[in-house]
This record gives sequence, C-alpha cells and structure tokens, in this order.
Amino acid sequence: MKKNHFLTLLSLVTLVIPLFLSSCDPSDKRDEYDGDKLIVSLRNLYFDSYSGGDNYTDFIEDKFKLKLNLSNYSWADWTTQVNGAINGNNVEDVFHFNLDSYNFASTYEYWAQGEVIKALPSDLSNWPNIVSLLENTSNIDALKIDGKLYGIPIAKNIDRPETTFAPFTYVYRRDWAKNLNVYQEGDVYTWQQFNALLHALNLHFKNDASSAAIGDVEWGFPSITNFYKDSPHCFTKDDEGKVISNFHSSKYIEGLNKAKEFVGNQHYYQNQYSSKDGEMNKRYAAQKLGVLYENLSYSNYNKLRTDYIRNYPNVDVDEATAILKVKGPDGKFALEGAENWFSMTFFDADISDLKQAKVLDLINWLLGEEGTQFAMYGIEGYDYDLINDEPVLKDKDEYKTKMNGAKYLRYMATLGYDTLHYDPLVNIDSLNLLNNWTDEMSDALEANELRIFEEEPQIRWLSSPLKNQHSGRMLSNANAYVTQYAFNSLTSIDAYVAKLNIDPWESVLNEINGALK
Amino acid sequence: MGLPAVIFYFIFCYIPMYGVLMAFTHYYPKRGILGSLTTSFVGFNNFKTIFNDPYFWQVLGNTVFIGLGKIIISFVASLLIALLLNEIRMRVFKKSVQIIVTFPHFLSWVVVAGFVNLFFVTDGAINSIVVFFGGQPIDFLRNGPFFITLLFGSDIWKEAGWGSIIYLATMAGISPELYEAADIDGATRLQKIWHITLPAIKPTAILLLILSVGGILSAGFDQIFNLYNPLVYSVSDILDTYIYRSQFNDNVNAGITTAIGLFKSVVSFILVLTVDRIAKLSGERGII
Amino acid sequence: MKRSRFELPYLPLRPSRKSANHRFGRLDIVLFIVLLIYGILIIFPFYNAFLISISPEHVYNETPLLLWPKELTFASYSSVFANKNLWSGFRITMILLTVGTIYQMFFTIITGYALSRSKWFGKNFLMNMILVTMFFGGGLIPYYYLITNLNLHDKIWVMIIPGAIDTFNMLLMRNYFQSLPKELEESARIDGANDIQIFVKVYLPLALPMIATVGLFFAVGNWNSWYNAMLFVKTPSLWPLQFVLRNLIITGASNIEGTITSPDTYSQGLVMASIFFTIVPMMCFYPFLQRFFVKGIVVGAIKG
Repeated sequence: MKKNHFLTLLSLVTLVIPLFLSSCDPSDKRDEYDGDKLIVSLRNLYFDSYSGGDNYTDFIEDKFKLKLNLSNYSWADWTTQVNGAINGNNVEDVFHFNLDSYNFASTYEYWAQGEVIKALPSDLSNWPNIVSLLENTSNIDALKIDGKLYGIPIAKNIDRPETTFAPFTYVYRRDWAKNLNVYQEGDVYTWQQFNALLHALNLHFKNDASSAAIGDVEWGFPSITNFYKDSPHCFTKDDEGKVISNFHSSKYIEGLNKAKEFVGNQHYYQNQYSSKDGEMNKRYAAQKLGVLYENLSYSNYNKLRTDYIRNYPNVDVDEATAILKVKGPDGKFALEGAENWFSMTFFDADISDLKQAKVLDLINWLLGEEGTQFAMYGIEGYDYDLINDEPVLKDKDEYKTKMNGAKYLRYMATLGYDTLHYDPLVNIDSLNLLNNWTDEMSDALEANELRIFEEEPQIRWLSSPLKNQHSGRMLSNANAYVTQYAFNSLTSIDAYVAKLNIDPWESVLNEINGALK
Repeated sequence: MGLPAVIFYFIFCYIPMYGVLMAFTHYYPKRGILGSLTTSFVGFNNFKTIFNDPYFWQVLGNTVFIGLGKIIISFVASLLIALLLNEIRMRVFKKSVQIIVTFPHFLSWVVVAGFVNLFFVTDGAINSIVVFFGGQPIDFLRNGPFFITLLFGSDIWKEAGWGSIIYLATMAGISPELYEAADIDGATRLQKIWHITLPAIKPTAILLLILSVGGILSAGFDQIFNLYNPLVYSVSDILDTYIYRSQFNDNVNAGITTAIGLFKSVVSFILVLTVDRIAKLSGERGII
Repeated sequence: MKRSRFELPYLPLRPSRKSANHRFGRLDIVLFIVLLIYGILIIFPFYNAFLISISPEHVYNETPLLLWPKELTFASYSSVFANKNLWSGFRITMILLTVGTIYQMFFTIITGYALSRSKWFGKNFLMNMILVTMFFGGGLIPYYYLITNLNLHDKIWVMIIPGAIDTFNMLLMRNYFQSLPKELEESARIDGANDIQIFVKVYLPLALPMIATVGLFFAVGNWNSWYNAMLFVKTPSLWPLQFVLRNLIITGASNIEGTITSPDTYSQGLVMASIFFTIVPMMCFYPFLQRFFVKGIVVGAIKG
C-alpha cells in the first residue's frame, strides 16, 4: 500500500517536471497560419466593441493574407491589461498603449531596451504613407532610442501643424446666458465676465443641489487653474530657466485659491471630485450644468450634441452646446499644449519580421487613398456607387449599422482627424463648429492672445533614476492634495505644501536640473 | 486519493513559487524569470531600494495598523455579539437576528463598497443627518481618519455577525451544571459571564487569534481595493494594494514588487510560528 | 428515514441551561434593544438602497436618507434590465456557479478525505506543504506565466480551474471526516470493500451535512468572484456578474456600457438597482440555507 503511493508520487513528479520547466521561461512565438493566412492578434482601445468577422475584415484578410484576431481595451482596465500582459509575456502581436500619462520616458526606454517591443525596420521605404505620417509627427526624435523608433505614434492633427494645443475647453448654455443677461458676443468672455456668468448660473441653480454652474470632466478638475499654471504636469521652469515644481509655484497656488473660491461659492457641483467616468457629460446632457469642461475631440463633442438632441429635441442644440472662450486674468486664452499624436501602436518583440512587415503593409494601405476610401465608404457596389468619380453611399443609415472594420483598423495609425472632412458619417455641424473654434484659437495664437502651457519636451522625455522612480506617484499625490485643498480637507496652504513635501520633490528637481545642464 | 491535491498544489501554488527568485533580479519580461536570474541578477539590491523608500515604511505601518486593528476590533465585536445572543432568551427573535447579522458575510466587497460609497459621500445619507443637526458635511471617504474608521466599521458590519457564530457554539457547549452551581452560589449574570463563559471560550478565542495573526500583513485587499481612492492612499495603502498598483499602474519593475511580496510572506510566516510557539509555551493548543 | 440523512448532527446552539432565573429582567430588555438596534443597522442599508433604486433623482437629492418611498419610478430597473452586460454576466456567473462548484467540491472532498485517513506515505508532509501555501506565494507575475502556459487566458476556465481546492474548505472537510468513527472503515474492510467503495458507500453519505456546507461556501465564492476575471479575461461577454458590477460601481457609474441611460436615470439609482440585481438571488435563498452555513462551520471549526 505504502509502496504504491510512493510510486504514484514518483511518477507524478516526473510527469510534472516538464510542465514546471515549460512554465519557467516564455516560449517563443512562431508564425502560425490559418490556411494560407498568417494569424495576427491586434488589440486597441479604439477598436471599441468591434471584433471583426464581417465583409470588410474578410476583404482585408483576403487582400493581405492575414487572419486578424481583434480585441479591445476599455479605459478602465487599459493600464492593468497592458502591464499584466507585458510582465506576464502574453502581450498581443500588435497592441496599443498610452505611455504619455505616466513616466513616458522610463517605461518606453525600459520596454525598448528590455526587448519587450520590436523596433520598426530602419528602412521604411516600402511604406511611404507611414513615412509621411512619421515625418509630420511632432518631437519624433524624442521617441527614437539609438536611432530606432519602437512603434507608430497615433496621429491627431497631422494635417494642421499649427494646432499645438489640445481642445480641452468649455461648452456652455448660450441660451441660459442670454436669458440671464450675461451673454457676451461671439462667446468670448473676459475673466470678469466669466466670473459673472458662473455667478448668474449659480443663482439660477440655487435651489437644486444636483445642479451646478460648472462641472469639470473627472480628470480635469480644477480646470480654473489652467488660467494660472505654467505646466499641466509636475515640472515647469522659472524665469531663470531652472526646473521647479509646478504644484509649489506661486502661480499655481494662485489658481488653486481661485478654484477653492469657486468651490466655496458652490459654483462647482458638490461631489465634483468623486465624479466617475462620463458622469459630468451626462449631467450636462441632462441640463444640470451650465458650463462643462471636457476634451472636445470630435467624437466627444458630437456625442454630447447627439445626447442633447435625443434628450431634448425641442432645445436648439447649437445654443445648448456652444463653445465658450474664456480669457484668463492675464487677458489671454489658455490651453494645454499637445503633441499632434496620442498613444502608440507597438509590436511585440517576439513577432517575426514577416508579420511586422505584413501589418505595416496593412497600415500603409489603410492610410493610402484606396484604403482610406475603403475605410470611409466600404465596398463599391455594395455600400456605395461612384457617381462622377465621387463615392456616394447607397443607404447611410444602414451603412452606419454595419460598423466598417477598416475604419477601426485605421485607428492603429491615426485617430481619424485627417479624414473627418471626408467621412460620410461625420456630423458636419459638429465638425464645423470645432474647426471654427480651432481656427479662432490659431488666430489668437498668432495674435499673441493665446497662452499655451506645457511641460517642456526635454523635461518630459528625460529619463533619470529618481524621476523615474517617483514622478508618477508625485503627480497623482499632488492632484489628490489639490483636490483636498480645494474641497477644504486641507484647510491652509501650509498644510497643502506640507503634504506635497512628503514626496521627495527636492532631490528629484536637483537630479533633473543636474541632468539638463 | 491525495494525488489530485498533490497535482493541484504543485501546479497552482508551488510552480509559481519559483517566482520569488525574481526578487533578486532586475526583471526583463522577455528573458523570463530564469533568464533574468542569469543575466540581470542584482542580489539584495531590490530590498535595499524598498527599504530606502520612505513610502514603503509608511505602507508597512498602514498595513500593521489596519491588520492589527481589524483583528482586535473584530475579536471584541464578535465576542460581544456572541455574548448578547447567548444571553437573550427569545428564541425566534434570536434566530432572526442571527440570520440577519450573518448575511453580510456572504456579500462581496464590491457590493459593500457600493453601499459605503452611497451612504458616506458628501451629499449622502449620513451627511444629511450631519447637516440636519447643523453640522458641515464631512468628507468621510477622502479624509484619512474618517476613512480608516470606515474601514474598521464596514469590516464589523460585514464580518462581526458571522465571527460570533463560533463563539456562540462554544458557549452552547458549556456544561449547564456550571451555571447551576453558580446560581446556587447566588452569582449575578455578569459574574457568570466573567467566571464561566469567558474562561470556557478562551481556547477557541486563542486559536482563532493565532490563525488571524498570520493574516496581519494581508489586512484585506478586497476591501481596501474596492473602497480607497488616491486621496487616502497615504493612510490606507497596504502592502497588497501597493504591490498591485506598482505592478499594474505605476509599472515598477516586477523585481521590486516581488521583493515586497517576498518580504510579506516571510514576515507572515515568522509571525505565525512565533505566535504558535508563544501559545504553546503558555499552555494553549497551537496549530502547527 | 431518507430525509434524516440530511439532518445535521445535534449541536445545542440554544443555551441548554435552564436556570431558576426565568424572570424577564431589566437586563433582558437592554439586551433586546441592543440586538434590535444592531439588526436594524444591518438591514437598513439594504432597505435604503432599495428605496433609492426605485426613487427618481430629485427625491434622492432632497432626502438621501429615505425612510419610506415618496415617489415611485422604475427607470433605474428598466435601464438595468436592458443592460446586456449584466445579463451576460449573470449567465457566466450561473456557469461558474454550477460547473465551478461541482468541480471544486470534487477536488476538495477527495483531498479532505485523503488527508483524514489514518496513515499514508507523505501525508504529514503534504499537510505541511498545504499549510505553507496559506502564507507563501510566488507573486503575481509567475502566476500570470502559469495561466499563460496553461493556455487559460481569456477563457471561462481561468475562473474555475485555479480554484479547485480552497484550503480552508478542505480543512473543514478533513476535520469532519476525521470526526467520523474509524470503526466503520474496519468493518467495511472486513466485508471486502476496497478504498473507493469505503469512501463512496460509507463515509460520503455520512458527510452529507458538511458537503452541503462546503458546497454552499463554494457557491457563494463563485457568485462573488471577480479578481481572476479582472486580470485574465479580456472579452466582455465572458465577464462574471460581480466584475460587471465592479465596473459599474468603482470605475464608471453613469457611463454604463450597454445601459440605455435616459435623463430619468441617475448614477446612484442605477448602481443600487444593479446591486439588487446581483444580491436578490442570494437574499431569497439565504434565510433557508443559513443553518447549513452556520452548523457546518461550527462542526468543522470546533472539532478541528
């Protein structure tokens, strides 16, 4: 009996040892085929709920001899899923991530040097559309490590190089402003007029605790500081060019005090800072906010307008979602600076050159004329007819429901700003309103009426040990203390600074200043 | 018949255990664990890094405070509830109370976090009471001391009723003659509790305390992960949440997070062995 | 006669002393009141949350502490019932509940039984190795590797297979088997039964009360599980109910994917309605099953 057990135990151990070894080390990826099609897995935030398997994907798969396995991230678990897959060595062949929001430089460097991600081939001449995309990408050199580029930055305003600012701004109820007699011509408000607008809206909402004059999208609080601060992140420079802390600076604290005043006057919705993803948009679209601070990308702005029209068909949507232009105390508009790209498409380091080349083929085609037309209009004869060489959709509503997959695949290289004017599904009203705003702001920039605040690229893309180790936490902590101060959990500015100083600002700043010299 | 167990524990608990080796490497995902060990072995450097990070000590302090606090508070609360239930004589009432107070144990922390968020936000139910009595709304969820109180409070709400069951059963096993003898001596109810009930449940209580000491450094990942927010990280970040966030959100090298995990495992293990030894020395039944 | 097998072993949960002190004293009233308050504290959140789920937003904003319904609306519930993700979560959770629980019970019971048998080679060693795992682990990354190499990523099995044995439940099971008389085995052996027959025919039927308890623990655990889904499941249609709920509550309340949000709905109402969606099944069964939970754990713990 005992012997029996001993034997089973022994045989078991021998059985399991191969398994043990197999789990020790990551296995190499080999190219696998489905018939004659190379299997490739792609994961992207903007695939949304699209998962392929339709006529469009079939067409592409046949054309490029690829079998596409598509999956998507959600905003909520993007970071977790990517980091888990990277560290567990189970990342998709082609994946998408925004390194921008935290410690960009160190993570990018770590991925590149740790052979997590595969560099693009040094010779890109086979893919001219990708080359021209990269040539127009701002600060592209900062993304190169030893001359190699480890991914495709996803383009935003690629054909409008003058747009060096992000559309993080306000929409407001122009009709209410008119009724309350605080409306200003052209939606341009000076700082005093803006204050008066909020004050009037606040009186208007006095008896309704669920409504407020102004609301910021959850990541944007307190937007008021935009008119004061010099940098959207941790670091900025003083007049002498020395790198200092943005959150300690007197300008920032002035803005913070203003935000606290707004909170104290109940201009802000009381639970503003615990608002969740999309909550503020919904409040605005339910007529519970007078002013909303949001990232007015085309899709966000159009969604807001669509929600409005659905909820309140009788309200004039142009009046209800007018874009507000505010000049700060210094008499200038203030907008956050932005690169003309957002997030990147990466290639797993283990995929073969062939697979990477085939995916680049696909992207290059999607960016070209034929591919773009396919992504926008679908299949000729099936979705659209050519009339006078112009594609015309047969049935727009039906086409909309088909969710053309090529359009989603195109998001691997561009957010689609370049095709908005060409896309038959784009709401031309929303687009024009946004374009007008962009033009106005560009003009204001030329006329020196727009102040752009940004963290300088040389600071942002600096990778140094202490900065890498601490700056992510410093930024999230500082944002937390800002909120606590604005909402009175930290009662004095001294208490706020004391909290900030728990983190090692001084040594990090010294390191940065040393490195930049 | 032990075979499946051997297989299971081997695969799911022991195979991953070789991962502690990562604590001594600068980890490169593509090289794997053994690969990192041979190419980027760093000895105890990761431990030096974490021991030099003041935030680590803060997190460790939080963990011990919350873990120890929970053990003590839930012990006292469970015991009190058990005593109350043991003394009450209305049978139907007692049964109903038992059913009600044990129910929250079976909810997930996701649900309880939903309740807590609902009641304790600044414009929520509790603050409406505060305002009714003329106070200013209190930011329970984002204010350190209040949040810690909420952690303990919600733990009692969810677990104390369930925790009382074992004590109650032990009390039920006490021989009635002891009480009868006490009655003859003219003892009051409180005296009977003090001299008969409490000594009788002492072994059970000690056993449960020993078992829970091993979990001090765990302190409740589920609860805190579902309840906390950046504003209270400084008081509520525990080792497990810190490891999780470092790993998945802050992209700290996995060598360092593994080192923290290893530290936690070793300390927990030593704690259990120590407490067990102390218990045995003082004449109680141990577990190992 | 058959029913009696399910009867639990006698355990005097009620104090068996009958003292001379039958009077309903002041102390009893105090006890009654204290326990009543405690019970209300437990129940009230459910009650209030339910009221919120059936109230319109303006009522909630005026009086967050609802004591009775002022105005009824089923907007929250109709939104929640129209949410495809919750229903698919419900479906996945039902699969976890049935398949998972049976699978876990099989492994846990036979392990508990094996560890309760008198002697076999390596038993103590195995026992110690199991206890060690309660405190020692390799960390997240190796576990992630393991799941990858077992090819469990993004499969429903990742929420089932790794949970085969729960050490705590296994110990409950072992303790119960240990408490059963050894003589049964000897007499069965004299009758010529082999190991498996002894287990299936003799001990298993006797252990039914404990099996019921452990099964219920597993069922509740499966109903409440979300962690493995968060780490390893990327396909939304494979998310279990609790993970869907977690996404609603913790990350984005009002932007609930798959929910048709109308201006009549608001985040608190939606969250509460979703919570009730997930706990109502448990609330319905719990009062009838409570004795299994309680008696099981008591038997297991005290005899252990």
